[in-house]
Amino acid sequence: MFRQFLAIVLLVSITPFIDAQDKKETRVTWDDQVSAILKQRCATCHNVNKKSGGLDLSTYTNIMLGGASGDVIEIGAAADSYLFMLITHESEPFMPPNADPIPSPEIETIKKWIDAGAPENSGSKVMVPEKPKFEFKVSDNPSGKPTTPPMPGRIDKQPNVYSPKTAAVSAIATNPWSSLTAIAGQKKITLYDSNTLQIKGVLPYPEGIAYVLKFSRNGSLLLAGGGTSSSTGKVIVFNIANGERVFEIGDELDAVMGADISADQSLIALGGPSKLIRIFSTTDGSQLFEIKKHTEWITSMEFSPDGVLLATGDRNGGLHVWEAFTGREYLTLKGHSKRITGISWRADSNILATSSEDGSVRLWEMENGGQVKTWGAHSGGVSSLEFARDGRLVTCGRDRVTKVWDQAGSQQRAFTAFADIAMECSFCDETNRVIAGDWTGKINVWKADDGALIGELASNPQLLETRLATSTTALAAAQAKHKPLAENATKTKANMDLIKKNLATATLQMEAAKKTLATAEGQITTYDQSTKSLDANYKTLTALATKTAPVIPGLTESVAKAKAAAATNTDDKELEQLTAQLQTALTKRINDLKTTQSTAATTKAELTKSQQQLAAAQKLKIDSTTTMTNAQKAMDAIAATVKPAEEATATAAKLAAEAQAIVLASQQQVEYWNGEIAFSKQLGALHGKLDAAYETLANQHQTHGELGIKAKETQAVYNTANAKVTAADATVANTTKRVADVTATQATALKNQQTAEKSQTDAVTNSNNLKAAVAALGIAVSKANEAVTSTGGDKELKAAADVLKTLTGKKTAELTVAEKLIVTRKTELTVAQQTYAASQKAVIDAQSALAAAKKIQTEAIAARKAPEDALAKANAALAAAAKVVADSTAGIDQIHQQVVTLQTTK
Amino acid sequence: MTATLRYITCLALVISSTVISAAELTELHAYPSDIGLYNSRDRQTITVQAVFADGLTRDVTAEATITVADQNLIKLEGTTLAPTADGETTVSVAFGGKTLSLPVIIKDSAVTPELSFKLDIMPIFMKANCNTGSCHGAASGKDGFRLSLFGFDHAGDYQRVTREIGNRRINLAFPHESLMLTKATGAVPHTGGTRFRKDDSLYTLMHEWIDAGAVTDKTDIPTCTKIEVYPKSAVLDGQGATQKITVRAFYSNGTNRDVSHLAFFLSSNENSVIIDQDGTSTAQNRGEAFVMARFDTHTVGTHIIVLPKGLDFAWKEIPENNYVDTLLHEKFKKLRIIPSELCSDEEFLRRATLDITGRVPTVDEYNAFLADADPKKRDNLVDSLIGRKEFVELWVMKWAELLTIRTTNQISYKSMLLYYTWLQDKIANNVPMNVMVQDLLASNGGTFANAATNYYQNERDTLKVAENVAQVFMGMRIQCAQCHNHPFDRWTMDDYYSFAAFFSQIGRKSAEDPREIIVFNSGSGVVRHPVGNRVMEPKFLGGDTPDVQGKDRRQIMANWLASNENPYFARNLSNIVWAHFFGQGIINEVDDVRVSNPPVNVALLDTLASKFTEYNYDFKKIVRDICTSRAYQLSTGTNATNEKDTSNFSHAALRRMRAEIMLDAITQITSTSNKFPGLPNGARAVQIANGNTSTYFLTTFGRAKRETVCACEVKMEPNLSQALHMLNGDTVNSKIQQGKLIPTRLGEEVPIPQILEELYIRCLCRKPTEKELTNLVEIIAQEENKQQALEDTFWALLNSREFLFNH
Repeated sequence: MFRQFLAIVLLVSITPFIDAQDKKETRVTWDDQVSAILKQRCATCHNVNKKSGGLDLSTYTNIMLGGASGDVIEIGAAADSYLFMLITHESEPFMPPNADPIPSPEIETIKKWIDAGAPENSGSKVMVPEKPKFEFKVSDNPSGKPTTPPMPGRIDKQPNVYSPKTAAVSAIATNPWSSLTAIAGQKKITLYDSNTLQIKGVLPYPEGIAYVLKFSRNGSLLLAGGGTSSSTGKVIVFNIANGERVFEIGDELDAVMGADISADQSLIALGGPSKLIRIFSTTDGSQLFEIKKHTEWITSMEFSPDGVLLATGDRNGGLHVWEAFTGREYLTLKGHSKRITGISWRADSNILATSSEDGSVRLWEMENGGQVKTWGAHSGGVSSLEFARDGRLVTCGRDRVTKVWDQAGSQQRAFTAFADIAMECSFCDETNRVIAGDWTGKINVWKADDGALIGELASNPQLLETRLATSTTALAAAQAKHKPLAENATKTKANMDLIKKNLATATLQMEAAKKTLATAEGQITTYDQSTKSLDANYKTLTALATKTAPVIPGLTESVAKAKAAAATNTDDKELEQLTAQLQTALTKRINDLKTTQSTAATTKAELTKSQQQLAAAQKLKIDSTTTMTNAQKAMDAIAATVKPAEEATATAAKLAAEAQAIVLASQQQVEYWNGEIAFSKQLGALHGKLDAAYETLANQHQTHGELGIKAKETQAVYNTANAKVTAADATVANTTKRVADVTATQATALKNQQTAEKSQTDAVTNSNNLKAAVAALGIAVSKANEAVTSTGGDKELKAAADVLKTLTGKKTAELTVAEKLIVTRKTELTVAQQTYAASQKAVIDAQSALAAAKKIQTEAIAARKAPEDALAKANAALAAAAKVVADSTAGIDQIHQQVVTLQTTK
Repeated sequence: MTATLRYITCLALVISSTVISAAELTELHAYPSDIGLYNSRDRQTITVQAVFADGLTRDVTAEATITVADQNLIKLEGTTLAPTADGETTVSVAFGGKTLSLPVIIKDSAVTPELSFKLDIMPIFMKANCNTGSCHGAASGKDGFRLSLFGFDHAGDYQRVTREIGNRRINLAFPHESLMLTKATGAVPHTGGTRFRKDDSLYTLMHEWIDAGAVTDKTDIPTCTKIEVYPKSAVLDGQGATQKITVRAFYSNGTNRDVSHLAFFLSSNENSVIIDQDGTSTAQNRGEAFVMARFDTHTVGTHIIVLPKGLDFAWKEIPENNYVDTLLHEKFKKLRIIPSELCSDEEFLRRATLDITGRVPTVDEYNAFLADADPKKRDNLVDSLIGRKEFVELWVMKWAELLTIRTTNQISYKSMLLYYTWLQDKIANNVPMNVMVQDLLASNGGTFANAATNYYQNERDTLKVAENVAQVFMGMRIQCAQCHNHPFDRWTMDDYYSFAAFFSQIGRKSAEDPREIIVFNSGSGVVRHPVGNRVMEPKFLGGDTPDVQGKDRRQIMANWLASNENPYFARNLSNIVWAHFFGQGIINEVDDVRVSNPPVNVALLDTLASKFTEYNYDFKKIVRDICTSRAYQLSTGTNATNEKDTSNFSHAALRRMRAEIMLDAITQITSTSNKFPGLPNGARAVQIANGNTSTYFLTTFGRAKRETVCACEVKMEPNLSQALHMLNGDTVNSKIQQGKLIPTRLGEEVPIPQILEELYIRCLCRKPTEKELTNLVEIIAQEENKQQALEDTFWALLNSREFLFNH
């Protein structure tokens, strides 16, 4: 049974989007079609618990058991089946009561099913191969912190169903060891990173709405309990690493409202409107036990972190604690007066926190079940409660507020109120954030420390295509925004560059002017000096010349005089000398004067030059000063624009860079969503392939099974034929033996006949002899009698006659005996003859029987040939089918591997 | 409609119209007579009814020509009007040569108001039977879901539907997956079965409301002030004839709308008329039915008469003694019934004497009446009987029942007796009924000093007092409205608690005598509404809210209650009187006045009531009117037209004598006497003051214990004990022995035929027939013990049905 279940689980787990109607029509069976119909239409009243009219239609066994009115199914005859008559409204009470008949396709299905012999399942004769079991019972440190934070790998982010609107938030869970958050929505569970608020994946939940979400204590699994109200209830366990379903538990008739998986992952408990707590084993999916104690709908439950206890609460405020592994009642906790909305254990399993629609939160110790603490948390009722790992509590309620408490019941923080009733809340231990959702479907994420609102999460994540479109639009917008900003940045930068260039030019000019000025000033100094010195020189020279010049005529006169004197006094040496001296002096003086005058002229020229130069320099100075002033002005002007330009440039650049970053980010987003879409498609394709492969496999299983049946049937035929041969062999052997036996019998009979003939002959002879003797003796007697008479009674004669008489009597008696013996012998002979005749016939019969047996034997051997061949063929086909199945299984494994590869490679 | 179907329909119409054409069309009605369309959702279906000369009516909506004057304003979809633009126009309806013009006003045709939970969704729960007591309206709900019973608490229902248990019941994201819808349509198993289909307007409404977010109502939504049901009446011709019923609701903001698709329809007599939930009533067997529509807190009905197809009927003129006959005959004509013949003088004498005085006629009375040749002798007899003290005693007994006069743990014998004496005094002195009731209800003082205050001592629960007052003096059972709006009547919880508020200030304190209690106006105390805990201001049932500031609330209530301002008081008392003489009320039961239990003859009841008021609440005059009417004097025999009539008083009804009267009659006939506790020997059972006093005979024959005010306390149902007691018990036999009538007569040497004659007159108020006399004389002649034989005859007569029943 469990194998089939697993097979179904596996099938379901990978075919969540396939509508049942799309599947090709196969044989109608209880498991495949009928149970679903009856479950939907009838099981509200005819279920294990209610059994209206003594009838339970939820299991195959029980429908076959019938109800208070007897059998409800006549196998092979729908028209005679009570159930069928009632649902077709042929006879009363019409079913379902006070309603129209169920849709005719469903009636048709039920008809087909009953007419076909009401098979339980196609697999009842099908050999289902072993499926790889998922080992999710964790042996080491189940509740402890895992070595790596449990975050999903790459999971499909494409929502299986999208609803533009949101309904009330039905469940929120946060992973105990990572920032992973799970939000229940319509037919799906969405995973988010509570740190980045980014979507991490969508887990399809086509069963309906999850009313319970719980991460396993080690954070590796996500349990989702829920279903479709008044229709189906199931608990699904997902492996968050790859988003695959690892288990599917429960077959409730209404949505599951409370469920949990034990810390060691060996037990799953669930409950709901059936008022029953059902505990299942995860190792084989079987129900271990159910607890019938709650008097109202079970609304909440949780295993203690140590796995020892299970606390459950109901709609009436009933609260019980059970020994998890035995189902024995451990405590009944009395206090709440209305629906239990939250049950949460402190990490050490010593304290249990519960919340209720009565508005209170209660803490219970587990020694005696005493109330440790009680406080009114939310007026109107508490909707949800969770113990944080550090012992804080988070609650929310009908007052629309979400609150964090310490264990003493002191309110640490109240977050901004929602616009409607707050429905669910959870505390993310890893990020220290509180996540809560309200009746309208709004979900807020706050920092627990300061109550700051970080953002929102959605229970209806958008389709990837929408996200892509959005991010494409965003990209375009970003690009559009970026473009002018970039242009502006370029422009401002160019402007700034120009300004800077201008400034540089101006600076250069300034420098040049400065330099010129410096030069001019240097020149002025130089020229001033030189002018001054030259002027002085000139003046000196002029003065000298002026001084000298008057001397020269005198001197010249002197000389002339001297010369004249000398000429006169030629020999006057002294005079000559003097004259020479005078001449020299004059010459010298003239020369000097000339030199002086020349020098003066030169100096004058130089002075003039210098003066000109000075003037030029002074002009230059003035000019350069002007230039400088202008340059300074220009520089100042430019310099004033530099900073704004720089700032503008920086700003523009920053803006552009930011816009650029946004563009890049948008691009990344676009790429990301493109990638996700591609991934989703690939994954979808692979899943499609898997579905097809599984369907093929199922068909192959069916074929295999059918072949198996055929092989068995062929085997049976062969066995029959073979048995015939064996029987014929035996018959031949027996008959042969019989022939031998009757032949021996015949011989004996012949011998007996001969003996009898001889005995008869002997007897006749003996009789004849005796007859003769009697006749003789008779004569002798009569003679003797005559003699006696004639003798008148001679005593001796009389005695002799008596002797004779006696003898005759004796012989006569002997004759009688002998004659009797003849009859006997005759009879004996007849018997012997008959026996012999019979044995002769027996021999003939046996021989003909032998011949017949031999014929049968030959025929049987001939008849065995065909089944023998057929058997060989069937076995070959079966083996081939088995190989096909094995191949398909291998193929599936391969596709699985591909899925794994796809999910793990970037 | 397929072509074939059309053809058949046409044929059918041709056939039916050929039959109908026998009678001339006299009137044409189109409903509603004025039409208002107030938003884009608003639709109004028109119903056209033809009235023919023979009184029959026919739904001719499908055949009538309906045309819209300004087609820009209204779109006509079949017979339904849908607004397209604002304005005013007319719709004309033509049939059989007659034309009617209906004014139409269209407003806000572009406005699509959002659906309201109270106005649009709550009616669904009623229409689809979700909130009945056997379903989700049960106190603890059903299968985990509760609605207020018949929708008395819409705010609570809104909470429960939307927010009680997460998103289980409604799904804002996928409205079609809401449990409210999947359950109702049977998409998921529902113990209550399929309530509506996906293509029903109910589904569409609820879906749209959820889709729009299931928002709560704004505070200023209008309230439904009344509903009207169309047509106002119908007389259907033969089984299978149909009449579409439409319902229009009027709102406090002055708008109205067609709510036929939201109203819950029911028929008071499914044997005659069945109605399906789309409002189509279909005639069944001959008879009449009150077809009702329930919407919001209102129930309104329409009277439908079903006649056999092609009934041959001719009314013959029948004399009418007074207005009672006139009004009854009018109804008979509609129903095509001819009343029975007059009863014989003997029958009348016995009937009137028993009904008016609770006695059987004596031999002398018998002889005198039969000998009387006055044509007015029946009227004279009525007058003389009304004047007798037994008449007073009989009505004192009846009132004592209504006022539950009996000793209890609270009420001492003395109190009780004073109370009884007070009542007797009022009736004997012919105090007008309104004055008596006002005195009673406004009474203050000690229960000894003013015995009327016993009324408030008898019942101390404020709500019960209010219920009793309504039941006794207005004939209404408002108990239902304590916990929920009355499902088949107009009374809401508001009405109930507002009325109860009149009795919230009754003070009670001990007097000197521990047996006496003083009732006074405490001047304080309120009644609170259980939904919302509002303090309720006193408001007359179906009337105004008077100013009670600083006044005695009971005085105000009493003055209103027993006056002609209260439309129910005079009607109720008239009905009680009527029921006494006819065995059943014009509204039956007399204390079960409600919309869904209408009077069989409204005009008659109204006239009786107005006469009663006119007579200054002197009920002797009403009794006289009733007893002198021809209707009262009809024979119990029937004719072909009235043999099946049991409710329209077209023939006299057989009525078993009630316990006290029967005992008194047996006592009187056998010339014996009874001794009851507290009364002298020879007193009549009718005179017993205390409800707690009884005998085996009285109890067996259903004497009221006076524990409640219910008219059902007097039990008239036959049972085996009664039969056995009459046959073998110690009453009849012993009394025959005790009375010694037979030995006396035998001792007087009266001839046996004469003794027999006297026995017949005594017991049956008639002489034996020839055959009876001959047979009896013959049988008695064979008996040696004449006394025994005659006593056996006496016994047989007292055991005969003719004796036991008033006929």
